[in-house]
Amino acid sequence: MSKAVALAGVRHAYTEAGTGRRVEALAGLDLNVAAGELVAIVGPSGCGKTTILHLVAGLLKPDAGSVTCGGAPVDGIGTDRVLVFQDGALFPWLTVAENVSFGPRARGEGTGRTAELLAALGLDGAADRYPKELSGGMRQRVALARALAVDPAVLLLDEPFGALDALSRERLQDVLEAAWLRDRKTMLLVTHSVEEAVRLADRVIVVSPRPAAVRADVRVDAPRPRDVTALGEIRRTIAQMVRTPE
Amino acid sequence: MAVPGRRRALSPRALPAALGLLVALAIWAVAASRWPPHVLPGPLVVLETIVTQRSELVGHALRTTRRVLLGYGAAVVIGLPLAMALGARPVLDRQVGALLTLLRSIPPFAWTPLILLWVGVGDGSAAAVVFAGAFFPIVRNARAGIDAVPPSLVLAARNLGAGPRVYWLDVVLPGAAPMVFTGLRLGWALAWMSVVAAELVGADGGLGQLILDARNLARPDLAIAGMVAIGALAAGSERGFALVERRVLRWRA
Ligand SMILES: Nc1ncnc2c1ncn2[C@@H]1O[C@H](COP(=O)(O)OP(=O)(O)O)[C@@H](O)[C@H]1O
Ligand SMILES: [Mg+2]
Repeated sequence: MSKAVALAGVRHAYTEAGTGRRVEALAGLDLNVAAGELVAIVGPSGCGKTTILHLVAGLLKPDAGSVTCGGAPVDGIGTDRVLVFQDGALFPWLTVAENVSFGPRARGEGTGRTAELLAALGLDGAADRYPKELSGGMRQRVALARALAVDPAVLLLDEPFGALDALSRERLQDVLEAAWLRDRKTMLLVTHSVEEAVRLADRVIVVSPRPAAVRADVRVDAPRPRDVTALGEIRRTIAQMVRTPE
Repeated sequence: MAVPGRRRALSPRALPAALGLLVALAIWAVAASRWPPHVLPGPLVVLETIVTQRSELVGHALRTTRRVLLGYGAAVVIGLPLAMALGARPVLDRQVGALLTLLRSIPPFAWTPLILLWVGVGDGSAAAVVFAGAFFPIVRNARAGIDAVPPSLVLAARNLGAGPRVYWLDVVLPGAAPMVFTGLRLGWALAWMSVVAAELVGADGGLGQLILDARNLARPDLAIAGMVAIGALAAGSERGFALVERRVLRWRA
């Protein structure tokens, strides 16, 4: 299988704004994601998960090592790698339909697949509403639809359901899985929920505390849709790894 | 979310507002009854003046309004693109920013003598003073509005493939719109203050001139009539502003 995303020996350090202190987020991280794969990244908070996504998105440049997408080095932001933010980052002045069609319209392609995506993500009835008028779950559906509308090669999801209540969270997981099964897009899903990772991902990457390194790479082979209660063993193993420092 | 109900919410608010107005009128009437009419005329006297002098009042009001629209229009047409240019070019922002800070600390009325010297008495000079009053709040707030667009939205727009055109028109402009409106409203209020100041110093007609003439003629009723006209025009048009704003920014509700 071809490599959709590859990080090799990637290092990245931030300079703290006030003190000028260097904060090493990644110190030689290797990660490969095959085309069409749904990979989850889990790890303690502050370990560098968002940094990984931002490097792939092209918002950050690695200090050392290489980040490639579809074999080509990542150079800045591109529509082939779209980020979905935890709060959705919807344009508040655009309706649901206008938010979803933003990408295609920006590129002069009309509304693209907007109608189809609205239907697929259960947003039919909300097409003319503004983000303010939506629940958190609905907002994340819009964020997902808006990202899918530009038809990226890779979808980067940064704790997309982290702010939702348990029920909406499960529904959105179903929506995401359905979208993935339909389009088979390469997806990198950062989550702090081991249950979510095990439920959705082909592979779960467990990342160590900062600086992030891959601690375990766990393949989940259970058929979909998955029953997480049947995956107790694997969940416990991963949760154990996330909790213990070494 | 219950949009239709919002209009009806106006009437319970209108009641206390009318009451406040009535009380003020009553106090005015009582005060006027204790002073001679050539010092403080009562509301009824002023009302009578407004009715009998209405064509003169309307004429002056039209001149004043025209000067406001001229000066304010120029402030908007120059101010908004300037704010966008400053937002787009950090170097320009630093170069012009300090100058703007200095200039906007000067009260618009302080420009009046110079402008009269340069432009002479007329619509042009009054409009220029209006411009000096409206320009700075418009530029300053629009400029701040550009910085207030959340970085995550800027990122999302670029990530979704927005080029410079879409970025400025569909992201920055609406994102900055709430503050742009604040500047437009502040500029509008200052425009009315500035125009009267300009007309008081020297102008051919206009409500400011009317008020000055009324003083020279010892006609306080006419002066108050002029003041009422200015207040009504400025406050009434501000109301229109609020309506437009609520429409354009309905996504915030
Ligand atoms: N702009 C920044 N400046 C300084 N330190 C940062 C910055 N962004 C992130 N960090 C630090 O880098 C580490 C990794 O951050 P992040 O990738 O956001 O972690 P995660 O997403 O796993 O919670 C954290 O310790 C965080 O405090
Ligand atoms: Mg994070």
